[in-house]
Amino acid sequence: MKKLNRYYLLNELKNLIGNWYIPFFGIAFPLLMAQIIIRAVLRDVPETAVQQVTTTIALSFLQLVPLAVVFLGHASLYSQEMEKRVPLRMQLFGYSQSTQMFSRMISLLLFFTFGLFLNLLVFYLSLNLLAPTLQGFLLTLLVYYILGIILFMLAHGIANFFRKFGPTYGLGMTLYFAFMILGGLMGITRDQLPSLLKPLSNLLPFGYIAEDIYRVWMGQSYNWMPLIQSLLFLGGVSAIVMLLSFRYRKNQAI
Amino acid sequence: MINIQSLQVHYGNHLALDIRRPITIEKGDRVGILGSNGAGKTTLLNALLGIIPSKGKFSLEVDQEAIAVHMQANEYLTTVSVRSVMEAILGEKIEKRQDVMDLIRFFDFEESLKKKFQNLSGGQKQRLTLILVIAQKAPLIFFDEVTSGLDFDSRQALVSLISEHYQDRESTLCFITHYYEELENFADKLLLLDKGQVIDFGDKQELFHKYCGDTVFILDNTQENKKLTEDFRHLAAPAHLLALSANSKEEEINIAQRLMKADINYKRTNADIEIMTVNAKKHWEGGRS
Repeated sequence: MKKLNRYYLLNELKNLIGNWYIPFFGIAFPLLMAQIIIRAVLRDVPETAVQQVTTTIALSFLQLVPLAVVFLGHASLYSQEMEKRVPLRMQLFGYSQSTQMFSRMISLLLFFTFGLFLNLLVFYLSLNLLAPTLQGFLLTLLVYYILGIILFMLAHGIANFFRKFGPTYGLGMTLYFAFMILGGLMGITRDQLPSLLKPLSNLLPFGYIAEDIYRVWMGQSYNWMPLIQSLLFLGGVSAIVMLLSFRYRKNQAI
Repeated sequence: MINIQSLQVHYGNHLALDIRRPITIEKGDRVGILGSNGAGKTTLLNALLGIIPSKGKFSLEVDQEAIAVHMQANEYLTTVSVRSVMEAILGEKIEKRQDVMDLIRFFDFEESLKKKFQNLSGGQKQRLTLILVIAQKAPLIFFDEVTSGLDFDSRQALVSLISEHYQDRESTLCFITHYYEELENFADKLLLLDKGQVIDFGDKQELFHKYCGDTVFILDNTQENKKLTEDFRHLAAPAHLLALSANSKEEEINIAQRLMKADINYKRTNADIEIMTVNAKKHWEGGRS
């Protein structure tokens, strides 16, 4: 079997860039949403808290980068490719399923890194963000990368289960907006959620990241336990979805 | 190269392939795998490649990974250039592979490198996969309906190019098709399938003799032609044709003289795969009923 090489990775990266919705939802959309929400929220914020609130909102919207690039991007791309049996063609040319999956993950994480840093740069230049501590910056990145890897597993599982673009994209979009709503990223704070949805919101990491990543960023003391538990929960569910999809499709060609 | 003792493939409760007789494909063989839609041709390929589950006893002299395959439908990423796709598959710059450069020239594919896959014509798409499959330099190569979707001229041109490329090479080639004429100058062995079962397998010439005799005369199926040739041995043939079998030189001359005397146009053949297949299938169906 062939090993992963730079030409394969480069081709994957070009493919990500060539699909307009990945740069749009992964880069342009978070920037746009953050600008709109920040301008709306700042009207009621005292002058002394403006920078802190701006930083909190901007950092919380960075979650849209892994959600759009890794989750929506991979689910929609992979399901389209499965529908056309591109992965099987690549396997017949010597690239194993695991090599293809690993290559896609690396290229998504590279693109995700680009999106993350571009968003941070634009936020920093346009919104006067508070500068992080070095440790806070690295820990914030770590949280987003862990979230990215978890979302990759979930996207891969859903796409591999359906192997069709329509249902995969439908479920992907539903989850994308559900995660945003439950994370308080759609203009409704977690406190304002209906009581039925609050426990679900507490199980997922999006709300914790939205509300607490500012403390991590600034190097302040932070109780990591709820965030870690929620990442473990979403990671566990995503791993189960992915493994079940492998099991479900065990006897079928990719 | 391939040794099949038995091979079964089920799709749910449907038995899609059921091979119960030994089939041996030797190194260097050019095998035509023939059958109508649903005959089990692609199922056989998928089972040999291990991409669908199968039962039975079969062995390959090469690893499954060392088999090159041109599938019936070959799709690639559509958002990148063909060059990028090729370099991803090759794992290096095209220019570093002289053999690939030669193939690109051989298949007149230079202009297509800049295009995206979705903008290639049907023939160009087939050529892309052909170049990549041939570049694998595999000892065993399957071409599954390689000319599907192409017009007659493009089909013939593509088969000629493949034939020409492999003329002096030792690779074992298996050519899956339902176009008989593609195999006339290509295959030396034939595997005939129908409804998932083997009708026959063997040397192309021997199969012709077995089912058609020494030579066959093919003419239009008209009432006059039927009446004119009623005392000769008729073979099964497509509805618009009559096929007359000759098993000796004397018989052959008799038929030819009668047809020439009546000014009837005919084709004399000792290798027509279509007529042979029709008769093999009839014989097989007769044996089963």
